[in-house]
Amino acid sequence: MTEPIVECEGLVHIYRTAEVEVVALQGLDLRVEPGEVVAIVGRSGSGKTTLMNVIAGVEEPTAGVARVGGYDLARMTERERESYRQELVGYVLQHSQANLAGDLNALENVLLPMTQRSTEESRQRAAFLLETMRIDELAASYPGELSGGEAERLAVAIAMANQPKVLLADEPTAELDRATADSVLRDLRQLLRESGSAAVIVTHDTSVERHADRVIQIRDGRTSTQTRWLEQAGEVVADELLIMDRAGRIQLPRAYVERLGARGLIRAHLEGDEIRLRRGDEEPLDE
Amino acid sequence: MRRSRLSIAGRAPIPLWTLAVRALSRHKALAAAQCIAMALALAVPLSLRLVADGAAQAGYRSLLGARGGSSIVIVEAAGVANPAGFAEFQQRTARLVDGQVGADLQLVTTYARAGSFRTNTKNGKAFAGDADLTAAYYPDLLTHVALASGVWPDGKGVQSPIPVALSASGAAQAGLTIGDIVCLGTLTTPPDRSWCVRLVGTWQPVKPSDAYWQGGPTNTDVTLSASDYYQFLATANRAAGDVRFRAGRVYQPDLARLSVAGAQGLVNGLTQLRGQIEIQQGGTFLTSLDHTIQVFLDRTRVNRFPIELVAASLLLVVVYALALLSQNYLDAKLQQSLLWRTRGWRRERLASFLLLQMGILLVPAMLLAVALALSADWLLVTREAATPEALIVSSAGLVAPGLAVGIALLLIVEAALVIRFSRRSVLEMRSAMARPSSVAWWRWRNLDLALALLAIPLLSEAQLRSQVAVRNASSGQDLIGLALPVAAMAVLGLAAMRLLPLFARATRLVPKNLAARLSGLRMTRQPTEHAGLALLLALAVAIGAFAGVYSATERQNSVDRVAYNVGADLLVRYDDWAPPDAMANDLAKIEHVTSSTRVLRQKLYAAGSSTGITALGVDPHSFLATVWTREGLSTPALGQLLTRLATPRSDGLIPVLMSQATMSRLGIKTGSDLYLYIGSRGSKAIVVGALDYVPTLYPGAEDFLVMALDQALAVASSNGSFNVAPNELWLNVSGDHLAVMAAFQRDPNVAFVQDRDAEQASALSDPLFLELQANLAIGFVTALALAALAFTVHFLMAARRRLPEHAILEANGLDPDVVRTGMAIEQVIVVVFALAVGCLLAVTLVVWLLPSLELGTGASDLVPPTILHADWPVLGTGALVALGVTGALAWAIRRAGTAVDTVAELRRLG
Repeated sequence: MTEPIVECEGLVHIYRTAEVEVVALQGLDLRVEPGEVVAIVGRSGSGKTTLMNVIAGVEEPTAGVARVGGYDLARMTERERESYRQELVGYVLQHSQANLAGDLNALENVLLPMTQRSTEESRQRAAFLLETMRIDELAASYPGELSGGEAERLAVAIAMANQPKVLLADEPTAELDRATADSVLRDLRQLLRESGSAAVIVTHDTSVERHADRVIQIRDGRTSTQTRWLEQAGEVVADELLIMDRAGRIQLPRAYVERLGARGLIRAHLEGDEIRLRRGDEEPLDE
Repeated sequence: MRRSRLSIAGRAPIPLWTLAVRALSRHKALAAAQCIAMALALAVPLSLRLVADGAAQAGYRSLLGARGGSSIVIVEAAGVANPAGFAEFQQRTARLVDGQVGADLQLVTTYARAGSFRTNTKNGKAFAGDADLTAAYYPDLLTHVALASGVWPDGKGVQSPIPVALSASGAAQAGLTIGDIVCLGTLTTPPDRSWCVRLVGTWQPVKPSDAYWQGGPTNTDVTLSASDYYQFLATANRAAGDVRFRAGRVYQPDLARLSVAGAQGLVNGLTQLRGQIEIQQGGTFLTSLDHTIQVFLDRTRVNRFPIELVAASLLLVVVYALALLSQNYLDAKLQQSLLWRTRGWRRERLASFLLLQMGILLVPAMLLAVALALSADWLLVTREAATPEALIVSSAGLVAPGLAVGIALLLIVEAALVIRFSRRSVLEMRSAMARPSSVAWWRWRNLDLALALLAIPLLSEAQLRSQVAVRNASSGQDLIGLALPVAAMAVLGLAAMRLLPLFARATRLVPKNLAARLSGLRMTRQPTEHAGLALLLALAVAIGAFAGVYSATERQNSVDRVAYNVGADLLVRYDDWAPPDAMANDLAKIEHVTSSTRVLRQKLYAAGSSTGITALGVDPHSFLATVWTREGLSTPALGQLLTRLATPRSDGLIPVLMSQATMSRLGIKTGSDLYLYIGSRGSKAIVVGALDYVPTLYPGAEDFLVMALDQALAVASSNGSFNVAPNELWLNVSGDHLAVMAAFQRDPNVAFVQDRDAEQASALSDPLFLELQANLAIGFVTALALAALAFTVHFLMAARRRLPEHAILEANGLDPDVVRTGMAIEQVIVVVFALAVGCLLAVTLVVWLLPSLELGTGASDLVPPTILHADWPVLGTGALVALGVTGALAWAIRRAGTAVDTVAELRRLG
């Protein structure tokens, strides 16, 4: 088994607003393998963006383990975090324009993060990225002159400039129509393959889920389900699994809980290699 | 397992320099505003420095230039009787002077002189000239004079009578012509032992205005060649035993080289030189130059406080404005900075990037600052000095050090702001973007009250330290005294910030107006958004209003004090021996006299006191019609008091009005009687009232009383004096003062004439006064400029920040005018608040500090006491200009800042 590029175990993050403390992540577990593309879905407030911020090295975990590329994010100094953000991860922020420096043209935007390469290497890499993202003809254009799709492509190119081990993208297709989103995601996928980078993409867009190797759902600050796409009889079908953490905890799908009408206590019965769950107020089954 | 530390080595493919230039060129308006703010921040301290130096230099040079002959330095040695001794003295003195005062003094001339001598005979006949003569040898005489008649004397030391020359005017005064033989002697020389000289030539100065004539030969000097002088000296010494002869060197200050910075050194040098010459060498050192300079330095030191106080207040506003504008500049860079930090830029790199931008802007800012500062200096110096070019060149030498200090201060401010800005974490930057803080430290509970209370001891201490007596006692610059009112202004301004939301609530008075309600809500709930600007505007208004009132007050009081010192348009003082009808004769000849009064000024003594009392004898009716006074100067009014002098008394006592200070010293009060003496004769008087302020008389500085003129004449005559008559004529004239002045000055009976207009003009061109006026003008203009700049930048930035919000409102059907009007209402609230608070601050400073801020320490600088004076037309014009500028800026902001492209903004919002 290969070492995961992203590994979170019992990750907790609490942040403070003016009046209250909010537990955004409540013991979240997550593994992302090198080169894997994982989509994170979940309702608003479920902790998706917090997870991204933690993995991006922007926020510090309150408790638990968060390792990326072997680095323990809970133990890094601010200076190491800065280097980490520059070298190990690429981050595509939610609004594409927010990723772009308005004072620089597209080529310069891609060149700017490349501090480790020679000028020639940087130029070659920038040309490659722009070409792969199909915006090489816009190299001299400024962000204000780009369409939404072009800006998103440029944002991806910038985030990939340093060949990060992990690409983080927050709602990368939120501002795009379906066709453009598909096109951008295809190109992103190709770029990830060529770079060997993994990606964690937060999305509400079901079309994004199709481009991911796995779709992880987050509920109430924990990973809840994982969906894989399987080909069965020539059709691609979704294979959704519940995620059990090391303590054996799982989150039942909300629909199941509602169907069961369960609240508070429930009964669990082991029947062979299956577990049956019943409402706590029902009679126990005979052994 | 934890890996080794990460590091960012390597070099950015796009250098910071390029990024910084790009950032500036893409946001030209913002960069220009920041550049102007930096230029003003540099220009103000530089201008203050240059103006201070220019004023001091001009004052110093005009003081020494105006003193003319009394600025010269004469070094003499007695007993120099031969050429070798003369040469040795000259060399030794030159070395001494050079060693002590260097090039500050320049040599005017050298001489050898003997005498003075009486003329005993002329051409063999007894002759007593009007004035005694001196024999003089000036080696450089021939280069400064031209032969008027005769020949140059050169008997080569063997001719007899010895050939001499005399100035043409001197010869005429002495009644001598070419060829005359005059025999001379000392007071003790018997007539038969006189020695004789022959006048062979007369000369006249080539350039009478040349500085040479401050130390060169006079009309009573008979000038000789070197050999003839020593022959004359030998002859005289043989004939008389009491001939005084000496050699000398004459120096004068080199005005072109003198600087205030070296003034104390020159005083010290002169003091040491005096000691070396008089004590070590037994010579004579004649000058009042050191005393003159020391008095100037002392006066300047004591009187700098008000000037520096204005400068310190101005610097507070400038530094605060710079900080506010720079913070606006940085806030505009927040989104981009957040992006860089998210991408892994270190704090140091972000700080370097921002500081680099500031550094690039600093270059044009410096040039602009130097131009502004030199212009201010030029404006001052051209009003003050006869040779402004020399002073400007001299001031230009201060530009580099002044600028270096300014840049250092500016960089400290900018670096502090940039470090504070860039040290924030990514999260802090995000939250700053998402929700601007509504909580500020100055909004803590009851802090406003505490700050307001803190201002009271600050102002009280500042008032104490600004008083003349305290300033006189202080040996150095009182930095704490300068900081106190500035700190008081700052804490009062901060305390007043609490009132901003209350002002915003005034919008509720506008019924059913959505824009007003929106603005009111925003400013009530988000009071910190405009607080910084409001504070700056309030401080700017305060300093502008304070500057305006201070300037008008100082001008008015200067003019009043001169008027008080002269007493009327003209004051003519007659010699004591003037005939009694001289005054009447003059008055008959002078035209355009609107009123006049005759005054007798004399010294009297009160029984039991040895100190003289100045008694002013006045004719109550004409005196009241002529004398300068102002409302409230005397209580009761001068007219009422003078009436008491004119009221006949049955008890025979002489009614007098006396100053409170004099009464206190004599231990008497109104209604007391006393004996007044002149010589051995006394008259009994009664004090009928207290009168502290009578023009030309200074309470506290001298004892004085006023009595009716006829009684004053009677008292003066009681000593047996004849022909006692009024000795002063006070008069008011219409038309040409100069012509009237000239007419009086032609009268040989007139001792001096004082012209109020001329003295007022002189007072208003006093270097300290001009420097204060220049600082106040700089303060007023800078405050206005900075306020306008900050207003524009702040509201443009605010408008830009709100574009997304406005787009959403417009997309939801809100009329765009509501959004624009809302911004305009906020501007009005901020401006009205700033005007109200600024005026309150100004009034506080004016009432608390102004009465004790005097530009002088002498009685004539303090009497009559300061009255506050506001030049309402100027203040009104200033307020109108400020409001006009604000209105124009608001209109421009409305046009440029609130035009929302709804679709584009909504797209940006996603």
